[in-house]
Amino acid sequence: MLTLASLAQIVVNGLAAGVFYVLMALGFTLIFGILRLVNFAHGEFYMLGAFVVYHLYAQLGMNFFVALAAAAVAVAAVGVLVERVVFAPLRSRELSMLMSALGLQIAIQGIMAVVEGVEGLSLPSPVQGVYRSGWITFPYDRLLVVGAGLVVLLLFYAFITWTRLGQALRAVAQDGDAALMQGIPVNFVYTAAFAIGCALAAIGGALIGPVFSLQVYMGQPALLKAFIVVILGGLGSVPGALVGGLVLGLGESAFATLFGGLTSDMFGFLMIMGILLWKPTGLLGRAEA
Amino acid sequence: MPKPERASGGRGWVTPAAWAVVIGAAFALPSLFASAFWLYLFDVILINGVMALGLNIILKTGQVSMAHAGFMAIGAYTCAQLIVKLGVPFLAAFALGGAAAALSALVLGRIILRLRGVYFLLFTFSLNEFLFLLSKNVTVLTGGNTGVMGIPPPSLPLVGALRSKAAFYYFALTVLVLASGLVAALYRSPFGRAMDAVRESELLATAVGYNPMRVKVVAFGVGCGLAGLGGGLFASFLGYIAPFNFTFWESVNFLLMNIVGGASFPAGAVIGAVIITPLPELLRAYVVWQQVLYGFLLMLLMRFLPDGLASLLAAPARALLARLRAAAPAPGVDSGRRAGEKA
Amino acid sequence: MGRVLEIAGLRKEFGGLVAVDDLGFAVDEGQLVGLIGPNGAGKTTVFNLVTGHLRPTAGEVRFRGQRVTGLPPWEIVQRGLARTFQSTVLFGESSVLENVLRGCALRAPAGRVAGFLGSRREEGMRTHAHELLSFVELEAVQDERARNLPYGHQRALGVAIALASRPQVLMLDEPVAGMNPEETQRMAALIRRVNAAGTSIVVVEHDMSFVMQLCRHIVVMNHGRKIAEGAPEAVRTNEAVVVAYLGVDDDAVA
Repeated sequence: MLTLASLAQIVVNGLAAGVFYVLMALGFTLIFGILRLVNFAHGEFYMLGAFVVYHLYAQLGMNFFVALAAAAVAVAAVGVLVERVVFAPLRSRELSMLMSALGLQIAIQGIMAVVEGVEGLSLPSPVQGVYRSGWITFPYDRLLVVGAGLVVLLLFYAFITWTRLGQALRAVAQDGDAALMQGIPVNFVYTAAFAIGCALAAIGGALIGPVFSLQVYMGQPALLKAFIVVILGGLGSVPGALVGGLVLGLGESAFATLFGGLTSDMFGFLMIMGILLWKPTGLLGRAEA
Repeated sequence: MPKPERASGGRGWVTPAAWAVVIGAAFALPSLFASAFWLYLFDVILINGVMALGLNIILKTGQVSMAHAGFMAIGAYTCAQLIVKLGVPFLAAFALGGAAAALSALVLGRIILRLRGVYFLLFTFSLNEFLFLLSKNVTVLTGGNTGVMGIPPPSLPLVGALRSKAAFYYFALTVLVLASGLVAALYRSPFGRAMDAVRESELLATAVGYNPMRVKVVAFGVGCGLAGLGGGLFASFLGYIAPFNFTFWESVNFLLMNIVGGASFPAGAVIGAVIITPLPELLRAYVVWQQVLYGFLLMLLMRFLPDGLASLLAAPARALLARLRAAAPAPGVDSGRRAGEKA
Repeated sequence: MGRVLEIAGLRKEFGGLVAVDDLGFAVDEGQLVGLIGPNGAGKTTVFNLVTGHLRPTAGEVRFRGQRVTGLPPWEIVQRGLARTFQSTVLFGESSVLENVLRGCALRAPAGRVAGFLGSRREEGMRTHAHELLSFVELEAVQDERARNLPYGHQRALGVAIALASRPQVLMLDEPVAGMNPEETQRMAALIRRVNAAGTSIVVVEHDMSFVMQLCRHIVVMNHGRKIAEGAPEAVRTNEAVVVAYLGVDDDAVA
């Protein structure tokens, strides 16, 4: 029965999921747009973010938002190391980079499995309780995801539009050779892009941690979502990640409420295949030369 | 890679003879390593060899397919259900499994092979995931999550059921050798030249008279057909198949075998299968770190051996063959030898 | 002396933009025709329309009397119309010899046992390939990887690959773009040799002086239309041509 209340609930749930998806997809699309790398390891950085916040916040009692920032920085540092050591030597060899990303995914997951064990952990949320009105029910921890997520997205937008590094990123994404000729330090930009992408994933992981439990294998499903969003919105397109994330969030919410969970997964993949055939560059992507 | 000059004159028998020795040694293996452990390992290597070989064909036209395990599933489920549910004899079911995979590939290929590069890769990745979810859901066809059980071992006319691992080995080895021979002949044929042309530059290929779509579709069909046959082998070897046998990670494995072994040679696919298959076993000693080591190995390989082992072995192998040819007795007058061509 | 290539009313629209409008000209057997015009005149679009890489919005292309409008590139090559490319398009990872061999595959005689056992076919192709390589003077570098060749040699290789299909008409897309005077003269000599051997040629070029010395019949385009056609002297002094090039390339209009 599709009442106005249930419709509102679908929308609210969908937006919450959507914001989270946008965070995941943004980092992923940034890395593809600049490094031409399909970062199969993206889910692992998301997982790392969640675990860092767990240790800092749940175990050491740090303020949640400070822990969040620290996690972003720490994972970004890992990203810098990884980009320098693993991907920089392979630049322009797309298949090799892809397979290396797979190796990285396996390795990070393996290391974390040894260090953290394979049991699920629960991360208490900094906010408790549920917002209830006549129309909708909305847990506060999800509201936190939406709120913090929106703040991060705004910060990212400001960064990419107004800072020198942000503009350099856009230039390199547009045309690497031209950027090089303009004197932009392309290698530095590549490393920065990868690090920022990882940081965004880490923030996504940290924010979603309280909502679902933590586990070293949590990266996989998150990665799949990022894939769907990015293909939907266009590989390498930042506005595309935004639109794609929201569309996926709302679409899944509607599907799950109306038809049940498993088929919504299949729907996601059918959608990717459809988009790739109809408009491979996505809803908002630019056609490649 | 530039094609090796053809052996000509009276010494053309050396390379085939060398291969005959290698194949003969392969057939002799079960007598030397008769334990259940080794035979099991060899059998899996052979099945993976067939799979990797199929992917090699697709890679040769420049398309990276991440759906290879999906087509293996089509072949495996078709073969298994035909035998278990309909009592179809093994060879027919085996062939039909391959045909089902090939047909699906030909139909899909016409639509999806216009995608290039990373887009094709992502599409096939999604296709594999979709097929995986499909096999979990369409219980009536695939048995859902529990899969298909009680698949009997292969049964051949005149020979009967291949119950022992050694018997399966001989059968699988025959399949692999035949497939390899066909693939090698394909690569040396005009079609093989067309595949190389399409991979290196589709634009120039159209300008010299090739239809890239037709070349890619045929390659995709043949490669996925081999995957289907590999699936049939897999099903009748294990006796039991379920969706988790055909995930994205299996597809990655077949790609890895080609990369490690070297995708520019069909032999590379088989070499890759020989190296990658025992890896989980070898790393099992380090149980806890097994996964980490695997990941690091992968990254190291990509960094230091991107063209695979076959490219390392190609030059010494050719040198060895050349020396054998020089030492080999030539039957009478060297007719047909062109000036400037290697002996 | 028949008309080997006829183009009539050719038109191409990209969305709202008209790139080529009502273009028509003909090439007689054995002719060496130049197609020139300032940058953006639509020359390369015409090129791609005739060779099958683009579909015309309207108009007709006839090759040896048959309609070939809208056919895919590989069918056009099969009928005997070959082309080279403006930017270097080669099988970069393969040897020079292998590059030419791939071009020869189209005309290689189909053996009785086609497909697998074709050693005689292979030998025929190799002979042809070696002939082509000596014709373009690249025999010495036949084992070099194509992408390692110097620029001038790469363009010559492009010509050899196109010639491998034994075309009646060869279309060259800016064959001397980016070449120094010495390389330009070598390419001109090569083009004359090809023409003398019986192949009709259409040269699309931006460099007016090159086309003036090479071709005896010239078609001039601007803004997607034909603005002049005729012998070099007539075209050179044509008012519309002078206006089109004035301010763009003073040196060329001599």
